Amino acid sequence: MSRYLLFRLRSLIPVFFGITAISFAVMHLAPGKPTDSITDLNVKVSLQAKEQLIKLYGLDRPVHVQYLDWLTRIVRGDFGRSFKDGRPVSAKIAERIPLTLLLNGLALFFILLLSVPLGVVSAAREGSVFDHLVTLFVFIGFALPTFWVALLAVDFFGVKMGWLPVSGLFSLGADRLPLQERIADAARHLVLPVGVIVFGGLAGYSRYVRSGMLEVLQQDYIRTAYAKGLKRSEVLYKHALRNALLPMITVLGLSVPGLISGSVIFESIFALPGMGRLFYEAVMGRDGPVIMGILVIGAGLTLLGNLIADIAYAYADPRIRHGEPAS
Amino acid sequence: MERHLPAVGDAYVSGTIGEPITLIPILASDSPSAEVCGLVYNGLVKYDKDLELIGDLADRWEISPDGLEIRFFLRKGIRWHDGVPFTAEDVEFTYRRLIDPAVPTPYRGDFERIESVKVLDPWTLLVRYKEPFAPALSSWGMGILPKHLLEGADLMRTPLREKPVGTGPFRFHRWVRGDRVELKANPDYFEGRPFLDWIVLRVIPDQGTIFLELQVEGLDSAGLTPLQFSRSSNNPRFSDLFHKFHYPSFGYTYLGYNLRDPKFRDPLVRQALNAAINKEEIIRGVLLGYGREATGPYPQESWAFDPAIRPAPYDPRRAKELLAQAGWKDADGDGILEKEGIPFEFTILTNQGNLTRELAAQIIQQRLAAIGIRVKIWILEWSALLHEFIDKGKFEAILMGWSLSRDPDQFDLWHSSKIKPGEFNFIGYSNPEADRLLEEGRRTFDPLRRQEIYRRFHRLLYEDQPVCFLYVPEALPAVHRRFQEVEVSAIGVGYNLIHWYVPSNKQRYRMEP
Repeated sequence: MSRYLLFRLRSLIPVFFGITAISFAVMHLAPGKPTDSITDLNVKVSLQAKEQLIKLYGLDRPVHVQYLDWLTRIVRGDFGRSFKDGRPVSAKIAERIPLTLLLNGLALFFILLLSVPLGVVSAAREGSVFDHLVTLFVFIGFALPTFWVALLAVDFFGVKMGWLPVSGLFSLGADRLPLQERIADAARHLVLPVGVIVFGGLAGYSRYVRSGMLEVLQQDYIRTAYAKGLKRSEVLYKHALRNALLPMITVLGLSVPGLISGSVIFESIFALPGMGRLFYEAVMGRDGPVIMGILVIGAGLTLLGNLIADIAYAYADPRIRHGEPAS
Repeated sequence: MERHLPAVGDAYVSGTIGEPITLIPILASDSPSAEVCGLVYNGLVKYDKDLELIGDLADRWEISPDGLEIRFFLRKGIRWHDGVPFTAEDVEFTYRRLIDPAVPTPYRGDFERIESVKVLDPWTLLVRYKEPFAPALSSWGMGILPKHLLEGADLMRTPLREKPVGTGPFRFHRWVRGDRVELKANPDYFEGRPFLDWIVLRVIPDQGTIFLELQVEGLDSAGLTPLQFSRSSNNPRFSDLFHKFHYPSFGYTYLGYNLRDPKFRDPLVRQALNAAINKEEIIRGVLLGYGREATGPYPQESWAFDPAIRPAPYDPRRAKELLAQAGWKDADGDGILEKEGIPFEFTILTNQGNLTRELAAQIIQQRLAAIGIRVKIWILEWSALLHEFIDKGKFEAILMGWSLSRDPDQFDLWHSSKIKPGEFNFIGYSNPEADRLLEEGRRTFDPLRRQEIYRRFHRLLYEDQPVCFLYVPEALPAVHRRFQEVEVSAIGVGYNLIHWYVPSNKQRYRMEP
């Protein structure tokens, strides 16, 4: 097991540097510079001033020199400062992560809470009216453009009915409220964004559970379990579900980076200051240090998520742990 | 309408698509930053509602007869938000930072023309220019920085970037990153305490959400799109809550030709294109009527605008005649004009994400097709358009816009010396008469003579048609009705924000610190 772990860890290092080198190169291939937001079509900026600005940011040096410079700083844990506002990249990321984590964590929780039973029941009653209705419902959620669903939801629940706040995380003046009421205020603000993400995300997970279950339900030991005279619910949830959830380990591992990556669309529509918007604004402003900082964290978490999934798999499935061929 | 006594209190909540970047006025180049800086800081001068320059931190000023010196007499008794008195030293300090090569300010250009800035006494300042420069006075509208807090500091890292200390009507209170900026009334403001207690600028990155927030009164004002202005907000509930205003913005949208391209070198061709493009149709169809036909580089509100210029009527027949005179005829009968065997076709480039420009380009395409010119449209990402095509001169025609400063000096846009890659006369316009007028306009201080120069320049551009001037779009703000004293002027809504108030029975927010 430990040799397996070591091998896995070692192979991550070149992958990590490969990701950063390619990201850096792509960023520099894109047209535009971080100084553009100051100089573009601004008649007050002379050519000379433009060149001065580019020099000031160290952008006149060759790309590989800039990359090595960035790399030597990153291995010392220094993410640098944003070109846009001069603030440390680590501070900018740190103030955005909690909200995105909360939003995506809540969404993932509710998605699992709903999609596991939906998947199990759909599989158990394969081909029934219920199965078809669930399929229809989750695929509608999957197929509709999320920004459109979000705007319609806000218009209906926020504007027409006035039940829920339209955007933001807190009401104005909420900071004077006692803690409990502030939490309630934030919760009310989160209902719509979390609800819309869950609606759009149900399809994926519930389908995984359903197909996993269908496969397991064909197995001999399920028939044996029925033959022993176990209750249907016991067979489904105790015997079948455990095995059907194995592939979910991979899916969950892959969703780890998604927890902090955020979404430009949701965060923009609901005016929530999260990671998705930070990344989008950084890309639009060609803000190199911020782009690279987020990519490093994203790449790190993706690799970590894969690793955890692999380890969890090895733990859950002895065939992998002992290097035996899977049937 | 019922009258109320002005009352103190309440908050004014407005929305912005982008978050401010920095609250140091000499570094702020985005509009949300400029909006906050404008409330927290003051310049020496400012524009009043009729676009006249009046004193702000400066009480008055004298310009020497040769136009080389401006002597500013500052208001006495002004204090920074931290209580330290404001003096001429602060102005001199701000000037030093503006010309410091280590400070990435986009505003250096105007201040590099200064030979020296001398502090004569705490309230008198003598600015000497290397040569007469008429737009100089308006450049002193730049927000003045507090020397006692920034002396020796790195402007890229100072805490004042996030917690500004100014002299303005509102004091900085706090900035919730990515969410909002809050300002508080300055009780010691030299023009009197504003009636409103709070200003809140909420960051809402989605235009649709801004409109939804407006409807639930989560915002007190927002700029609307033409569609929102004329349709979506056209219901009794919205009208009960909000006043809608419309006034011309300071800018214009144009179809620019690459004048190095032989097709566009002949003024007759450019006049023909002007006659063939129906601007009224674009304004009606794309702006839903909320815009005006542009006849030149100045909006109607500017004193440089020549009201005698009548826009050429839409006249495709005349366009065809002009093109025939210039040698463009459909010789082979395929519906496309040719000259010396080369068909008249070109591509219009415009930037992604601006629906009005995309639609305007389509209308132009259709109108030009009707007179035998084949137009293609290519929509490009902003950065690629600017750096890969415009800067390198790789375009035939572009559909773009300029937003303008209040001063009519447009040397950088039209002078023949400004055609290097990355400069702003990228269409390559070169006309000795225009050059002469632009140079003279910068040197002339006498308002009447200056007006005459720029009006002649306006006429010259309209006759010469280096670009086809399309329209001046209108700003379309909505403001909550509970605010009193809100009015629209040539400079827009909000210039008199410190006089706005809400009658006590209609106040919505009570926010103690």
